Amino acid sequence: MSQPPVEQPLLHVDDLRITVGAGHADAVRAVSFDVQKGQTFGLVGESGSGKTLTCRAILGVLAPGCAVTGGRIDFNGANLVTATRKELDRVRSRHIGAVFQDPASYLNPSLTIGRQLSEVLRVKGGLGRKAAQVRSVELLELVGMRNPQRVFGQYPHELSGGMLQRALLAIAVSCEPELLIADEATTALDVTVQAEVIELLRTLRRELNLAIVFVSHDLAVISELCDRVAVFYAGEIVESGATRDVLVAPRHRYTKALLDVADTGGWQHRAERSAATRDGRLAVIPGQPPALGVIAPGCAFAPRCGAAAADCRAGDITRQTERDREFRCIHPVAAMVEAAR
Amino acid sequence: MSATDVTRAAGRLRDDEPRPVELLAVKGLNVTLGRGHRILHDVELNVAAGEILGLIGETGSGKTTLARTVLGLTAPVSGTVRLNGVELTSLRGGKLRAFRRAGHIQYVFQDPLRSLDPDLRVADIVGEGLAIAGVPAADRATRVRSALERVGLDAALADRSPGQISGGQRQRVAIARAIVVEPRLLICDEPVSALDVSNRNHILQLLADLRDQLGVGIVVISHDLGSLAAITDRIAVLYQGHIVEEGPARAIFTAPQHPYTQLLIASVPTIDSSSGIAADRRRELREQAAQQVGERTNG
Amino acid sequence: MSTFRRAWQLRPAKISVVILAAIVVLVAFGHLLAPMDPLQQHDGQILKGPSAHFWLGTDYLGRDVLSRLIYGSTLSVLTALEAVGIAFGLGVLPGLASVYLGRPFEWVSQRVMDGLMALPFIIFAIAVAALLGNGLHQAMFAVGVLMAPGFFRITRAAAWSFNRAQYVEAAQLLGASPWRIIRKHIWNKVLPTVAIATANHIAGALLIVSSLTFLGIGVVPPTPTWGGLLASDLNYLAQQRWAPVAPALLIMITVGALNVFADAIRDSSDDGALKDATKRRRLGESRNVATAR
Repeated sequence: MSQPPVEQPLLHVDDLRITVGAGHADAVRAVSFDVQKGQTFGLVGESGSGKTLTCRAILGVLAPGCAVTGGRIDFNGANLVTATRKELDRVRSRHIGAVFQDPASYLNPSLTIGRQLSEVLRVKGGLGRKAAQVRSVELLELVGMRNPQRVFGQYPHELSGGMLQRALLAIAVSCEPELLIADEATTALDVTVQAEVIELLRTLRRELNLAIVFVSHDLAVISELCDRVAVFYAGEIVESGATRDVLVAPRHRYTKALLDVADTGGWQHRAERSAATRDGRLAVIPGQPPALGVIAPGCAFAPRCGAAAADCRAGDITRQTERDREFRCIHPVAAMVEAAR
Repeated sequence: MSATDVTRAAGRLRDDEPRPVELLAVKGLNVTLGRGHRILHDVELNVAAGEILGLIGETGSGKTTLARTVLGLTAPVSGTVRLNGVELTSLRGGKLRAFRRAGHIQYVFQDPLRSLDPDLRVADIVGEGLAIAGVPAADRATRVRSALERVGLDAALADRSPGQISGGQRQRVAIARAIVVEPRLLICDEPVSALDVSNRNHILQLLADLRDQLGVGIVVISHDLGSLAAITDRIAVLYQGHIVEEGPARAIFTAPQHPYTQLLIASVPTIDSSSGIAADRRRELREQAAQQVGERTNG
Repeated sequence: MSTFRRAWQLRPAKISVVILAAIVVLVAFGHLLAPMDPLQQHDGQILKGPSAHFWLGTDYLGRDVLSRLIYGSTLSVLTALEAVGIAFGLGVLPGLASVYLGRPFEWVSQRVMDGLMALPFIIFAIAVAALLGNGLHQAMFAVGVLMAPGFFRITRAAAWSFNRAQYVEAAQLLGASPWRIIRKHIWNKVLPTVAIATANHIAGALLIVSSLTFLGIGVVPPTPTWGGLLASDLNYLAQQRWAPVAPALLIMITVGALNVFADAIRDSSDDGALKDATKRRRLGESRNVATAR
């Protein structure tokens, strides 16, 4: 009879609405998802799909002109949307850390890495100068720098892109936050460096019990790193669930289209195929995503969907739940019999 | 020019010719930049008409320098670059300009936003090469229109400026500008990195079509192995200024020989179900390969 | 060109252009607009205040101040333009050429300009006066020559920054000659910067002209100039306390309008830092802000 207590999720986003610009265009509509402690959650979608705006809303750093107009963002129970500047300051760095796409532009080029890292530890972590220095070197070692003492004294221009991103990760986790937001953190990196940073994120998660919200357009990276994933399209989450389920057996047509286009699972086989036959054109998704704020009735993906029917363009598309996952599609891809896990 | 003239001019091979027509031959290329910093070491590269060569290189590999040297924007210390037998490194000033006006080699830049003049209309941008070559306005308009059509752009876009069209459309404009002069060799630097995932295949397919229909030889420089796998015939791997491996695409992707290539292949993330290698094994492989690469190039 | 169009949308720009247009009209058609002969002395009308007949009153010789001001505009403004014209010719073209004509020319032109910048103005002006005579035109010639390095460096810097652009490389790869690149790609982008420099330099030259004529250099009385009027007014300050206001105001407004105009162009250009949020908002709709992806 007694059930284990349902743990409160670390991050609970509920029906989030964000508008952009003077015309108050809806850029994010009714976005809801939960992130548990120590879980990696992926947000995947193309540019303009709303995933980055959602992250910025969580961090409270929406660009001027953007505003949260509905919903809540609960972090450890407290609503970040209605939080005061002071409360947000308290939460940022100490409880939520962040890394972004272009590491070089987030570091002061005239200060050493060590100085910038110590600064965060002293201001946010309350450490003294000496203690901050020691801890900085420890953190640089944690993020995999081969020579942490040396990096401490180096300037950003002396480091490669991968090392810069590691340095930023060190800064982001310096005050031991519970949640890390990584917005396209590996997109600008070389393939080999990207693999290393993904590995590092896994390590950090393991050692610090860090929950990660990982935003990317790359399904393969999400697949490598994330336990759960939410697929964004035109400001909405069209499908979400366990990564393995969603990416292996997608239900929403857009997810399927993305997988066909990316074909990252079979890229090696694609090479074989293309060399052998030289026919068989690459999968494309016809059309363009809807412009910002243009909301047609029905499913936003219908104009580009091969299987769209009349009722797809009519009223509200209700969210369907299937065991552990949800999707907004009334003519979804046929459910596949799960192969032996 | 009729379609057959175009294909003949582009050196496309007919079905009964088994030997590929060699288009670009780079041999022993050494390039130094700035204060004696050697970027390329003895680089050798061959591209045939009607084939796509993928050049894989990460940051610092020298791939952009290689492209710029072939294009004549950078002078090599030693080595030869031959296009259809013509030695390019000895061209200077007026001769170089005349060679470029003839449009044999064209380049598609990595950043579609910065490589298009923001103050010009699309039609003027695409037709610039023709204007420079002295093609009369009426002919120019026709050829620009057909180039835009070939890259899948609506003719109405011709009057817009680069700031008014999307990233994918800008990249197509850049490609249209390159192909309107009917080049034999096309060099594309990261043609799809700046684009959304759903747009990439459009461009990749376009490049494959150019190869198949016009017999153009194409070099695609990229660090995105997935894109390269889709369309390339052969692959060359550039690491710290050395070509460490070269061969048919299929062989490179399925059975890489050089440790760096192995490292690359092992580093590409895949969607779980179809990857044969578990994450741990991949990590091992990566560490092995990184070690070997360090030994080999330092030795 | 889009920069100028955008600049036009700002209110300060519109006001300054209107003012400058009025000045241009004064300069061009002054002799038609002035109610009286500026040199004619009216007996018994010495140092009178503004009246229906003499709108701005009369000076110490009974001459109509308004007419003298209007005629003075021509000389003052034209000599200022003369100086800037010389500076423009000696600076802008070599500035552009130094980017494209190869290393030797680049080196030589830069050293010449460095040399000119090193010359102290007064000494040079005196030397020119000694060589060519003591006149306003000679003085403004000296001013123009010494202003040239400024134009040179500004034009060179602007051309240099655009020269590195990828679309310029793309044009080079298509076989474009340097001249074509300047014509088609560089000139209209350099123009806003050059226009700003020109407006600022005209303002500066105007102040220099006014100062020189104030000191009495190069102008044979009774020729009216703004600075000269200011000087003579100051001599009779006790009798006409308000008299210097008119020429001073004219100088101020013209110089001010030029500077505001230059500011407007700078703020509308893509390189201008739009610190003012209002300006940013008003310009927001007309700027082609392209997203990268």
